[in-house]
Amino acid sequence: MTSPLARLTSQRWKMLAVPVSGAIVLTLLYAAAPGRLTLGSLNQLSTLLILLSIAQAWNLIGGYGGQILLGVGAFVGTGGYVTTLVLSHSSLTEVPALALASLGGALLAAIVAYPLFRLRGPYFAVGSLALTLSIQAWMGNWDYSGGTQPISPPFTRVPGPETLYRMAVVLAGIAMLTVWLVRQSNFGLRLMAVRDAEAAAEGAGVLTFRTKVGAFLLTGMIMGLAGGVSALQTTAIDPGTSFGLTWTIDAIVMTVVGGMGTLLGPLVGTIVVYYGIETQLETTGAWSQFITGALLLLVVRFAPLGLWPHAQDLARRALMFGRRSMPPPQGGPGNTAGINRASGLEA
Amino acid sequence: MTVQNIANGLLQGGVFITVALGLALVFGTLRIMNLAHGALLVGGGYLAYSLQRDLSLDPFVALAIVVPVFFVGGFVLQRYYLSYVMDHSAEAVLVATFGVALVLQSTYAQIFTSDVRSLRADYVSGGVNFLGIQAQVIDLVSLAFGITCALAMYLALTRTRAGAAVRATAIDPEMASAIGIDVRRVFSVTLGIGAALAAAGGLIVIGLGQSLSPSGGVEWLVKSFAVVVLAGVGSVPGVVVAGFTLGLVQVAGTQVVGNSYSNLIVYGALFVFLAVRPTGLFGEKSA
Repeated sequence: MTSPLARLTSQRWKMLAVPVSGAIVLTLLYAAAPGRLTLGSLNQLSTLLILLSIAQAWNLIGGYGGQILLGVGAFVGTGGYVTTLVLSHSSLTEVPALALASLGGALLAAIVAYPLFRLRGPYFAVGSLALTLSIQAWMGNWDYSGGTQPISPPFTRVPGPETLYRMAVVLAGIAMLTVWLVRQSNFGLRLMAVRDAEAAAEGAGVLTFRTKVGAFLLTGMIMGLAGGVSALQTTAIDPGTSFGLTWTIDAIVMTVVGGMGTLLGPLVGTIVVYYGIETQLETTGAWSQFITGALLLLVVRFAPLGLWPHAQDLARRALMFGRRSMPPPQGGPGNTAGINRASGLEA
Repeated sequence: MTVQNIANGLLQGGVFITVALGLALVFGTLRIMNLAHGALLVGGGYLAYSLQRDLSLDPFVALAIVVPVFFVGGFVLQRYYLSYVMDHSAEAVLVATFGVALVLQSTYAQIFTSDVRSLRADYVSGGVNFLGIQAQVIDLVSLAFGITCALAMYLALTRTRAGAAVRATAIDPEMASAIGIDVRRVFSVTLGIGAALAAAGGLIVIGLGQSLSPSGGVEWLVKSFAVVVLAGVGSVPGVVVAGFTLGLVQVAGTQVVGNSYSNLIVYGALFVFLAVRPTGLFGEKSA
């Protein structure tokens, strides 16, 4: 029997293990990778980190908040356009431009939160899709941003691949840290309460609207920032791709395949989908999308919690083999009801 | 608004009614927002396109193949896939139908490339002039098809035993099951009919009236959703009224701000309507 103090300390350590190892990995990535990797791999890694951040931001509102956002492009595109326009029309450098992109994403979230969060479930989902299509149509007709034509920031102001890679590492760090902090906080508990039983949460005194809007602002902020970094990477953006549905597809597939409502699920999902499918099948056109869609269907049907929680569960079972006195695992697929009912305190 | 504008609005309304019926039926009965609806609309057109290209089958004759194919597809999808996912959670169902849309869309892109395609039928490509009002024949066909299907659906739901079973299932699946209705079968047949309606409607409205592209389904999904929201959940007459309303609003709007914003008017109307009256014109349940 362990003393309460010892248990508390061990829990504290367990709680810190994930962020500390995460910080070490990110620091290594930040410092060590640029000199050692080819520019091609560095570029791929930057893309991976950008996609991870977008998936993690989606995980916040979709996985922890239970709101199936189909309008990822709205925020990514806003971030991209803010960055490109700021660099083109002012003397601000990249970092303040990215800060403004992040602010732009949050601001857009604040503006659309009121109409969108009057809607629930599928209404919210399709409402957010309509929002993205509206912004896309609007941008296509807006002369200041070049209409449907692609625009680029001034060539001299685009950061080199190594700087860009470091920006992507910082971006991914911000996304992971934000979700980790939310998960540890009372705010995170309220958010998951809203997801699991909105009426009950409201009855228990949770301000459900305010909680959802809070998560949405963070989601918009990270997506805006990611859109800015992505625009600096591609150096030419147009409404069709910037506000397109591809961002939503990637975010949903990567998060759901890895595990919605878990901290490391989006990381696993991004690696599996981006390295496992998208870069391998880059030249095969629509097949890549077909396989991603099929993988999504299989995961939703046969591993509804996502690959990461199921893998954790398998590992736990393997470790506990023969030790019958141990309690059964909590939150495994056998004793949870739904895709988003994974215990929020699992890594 | 001139008489011509009103006629245009009503014809546009016919388009909206035709594309939205399948989504309205599925949403009203299974309470599933079928995100693959747009891909099904486009899919009916694509199947008819390949039948016309390879077998030179007339698009309207192709309906005899398209309708059963999509009925079986929808039935199988619900019976052997979605019914299991429905046990997980509502979010899982949304994600699953999103996955179906993804798979369909990429299949179209793989087979037909991303080039724009359209169906040909000479006898509906012209225009007619009735008492000084101009109209495209295909728009009149769309309108007639939409109204006929809506009427048939309304009568089937309210006047037949099977329709009563569908309505009972929509209101309370558990209670319906308790009184001996095979809920699983009702769900599968309903999704089959929804898919078949979507494919047939898409063949006429998108394939013949406009043009097919693999990613075009998304826009049509949102338009159909706008009609369903305006109509309110589970109301067939609502779909007709909502379709006409939206058509008139779109035509009136384009008179003011120009054609390049025509989609924006529909989405804008959707948002305004959701903010003002989320239960729809005839709805029984709130959003």
